[in-house]
Amino acid sequence: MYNSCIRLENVVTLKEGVASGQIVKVSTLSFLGDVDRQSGRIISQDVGNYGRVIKDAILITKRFRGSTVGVYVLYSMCKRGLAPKAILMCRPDPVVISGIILCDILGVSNIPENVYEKVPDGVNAILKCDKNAIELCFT
Amino acid sequence: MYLSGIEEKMLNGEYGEVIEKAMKVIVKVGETLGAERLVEISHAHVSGVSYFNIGDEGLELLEDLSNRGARVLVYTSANPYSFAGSALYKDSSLLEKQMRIVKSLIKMGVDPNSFTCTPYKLRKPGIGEHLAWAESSAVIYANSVLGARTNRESGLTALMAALVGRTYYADMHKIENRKACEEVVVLFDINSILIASLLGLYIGKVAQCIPYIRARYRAESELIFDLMVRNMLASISATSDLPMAVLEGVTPQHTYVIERSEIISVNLKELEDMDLKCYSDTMLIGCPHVTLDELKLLLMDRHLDLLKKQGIQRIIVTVPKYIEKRDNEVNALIQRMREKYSIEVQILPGGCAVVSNLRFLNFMTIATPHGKALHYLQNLAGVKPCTIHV
Repeated sequence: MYNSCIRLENVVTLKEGVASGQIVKVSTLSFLGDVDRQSGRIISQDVGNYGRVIKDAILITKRFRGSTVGVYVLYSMCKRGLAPKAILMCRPDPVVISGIILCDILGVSNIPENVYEKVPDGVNAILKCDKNAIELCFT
Repeated sequence: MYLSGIEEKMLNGEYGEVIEKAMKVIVKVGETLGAERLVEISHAHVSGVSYFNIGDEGLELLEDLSNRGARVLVYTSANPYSFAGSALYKDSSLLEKQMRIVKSLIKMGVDPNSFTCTPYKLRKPGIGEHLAWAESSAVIYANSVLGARTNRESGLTALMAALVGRTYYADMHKIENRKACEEVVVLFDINSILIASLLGLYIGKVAQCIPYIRARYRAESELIFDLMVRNMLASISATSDLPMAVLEGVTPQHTYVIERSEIISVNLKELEDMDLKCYSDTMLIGCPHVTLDELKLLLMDRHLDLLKKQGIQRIIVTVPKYIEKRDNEVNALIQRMREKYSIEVQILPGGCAVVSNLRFLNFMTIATPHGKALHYLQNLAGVKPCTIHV
């Protein structure tokens, strides 16, 4: 997958734009409880990438879970420069979507699960969001 | 998205900047979730009240909104606050900041008697009522037990929905999306809050879509039955994003559709992983909140004999804010516990343990039968949770 791109049509993009960062894959996540809001570090062992910092990352998640306060945690991390550059999700989650809108970062939902599985973890990537289509290139 | 005349005006700023911003967020979230229109709501419930969770940034956001004239258009309740609001910390700035959050919400029109994670005990919505509730445990209860309709709103979209009196018409608001598509068969009796909780934590982890749950409940009274159901659902919502579960014999008919495929059988052995066996002399009750009548049932003599045998010396109880009006009953209960069982009971109206830093209060471990607390205490409150049979 290195030096290659994935292009997806029919996804839901929250806004158009480009971002680059390291891919951080987590199968499930709650911004409240699974992420330390002071450091941006993943603190739950059952979600994947335990101990990794999500600051400036391209975060890709199959499914979010739990608390509806996650929006405030994401918002407060944005205000302090600790948020990811972009958040991609398979299942749309109203809690995280509202956080992405308030943070004004790139967000994509309805990523097919087989694409989530294919995306390599920990590599650098460039995400380009158009209207309902994205291109994700790994470097 | 189709908007009515008044909604267009809200979005175009004719009712001021705050309404415009609130409408923009609701419309954008709705568009992302495929909503074609908005729906008027009768009750909003906001989460994100603890200073420990929302921090200075959340506090400033709420104060800014309230100072710029934000006012709710519909009945609005709020989640409990952290123990900082009960003045339990030496650091007085924590109390001051927590109360600024509470005051901002009240200024915007939030019911000052609410501050509970069980808003349905304060105002019970009817079947088919459209709501905009945050607080995952209340959302799943409203959809699954009351037959009302609400998405799992974020703390902020619930507030924005309160300000415009509407939310996006998508997901749980539409009957075709209230579709059970996995059948969960429980192979043991649900006979305690702890068992209901562990089962809920497990179902949340394995269910991929709204589950249809077939189970037998053994409860000594309606109140205990409701507590078991409430805890099972709260636990499901802690380990998943599910806004609803269909409970056979409980969920009102015609509020869901069924498209069953896979059957998941659950036996007691599968709950062992979530049973955190350790010891604490302090127990937490009230996650989700319990009412005073429920608490009296839980603290009946035969239950207390068992708790005493398990070494419980102190019980922290979190209850809705409005219970502080029943001071006499609360004091009598505390005194009886002290005199008869040498157990210190601390009752905290409007408080929530899992959103409080309990390490600062010198707790290391807490025993609790509540699945939601078992899930969050370690990472949010900084203490080790232990299961206790209640």
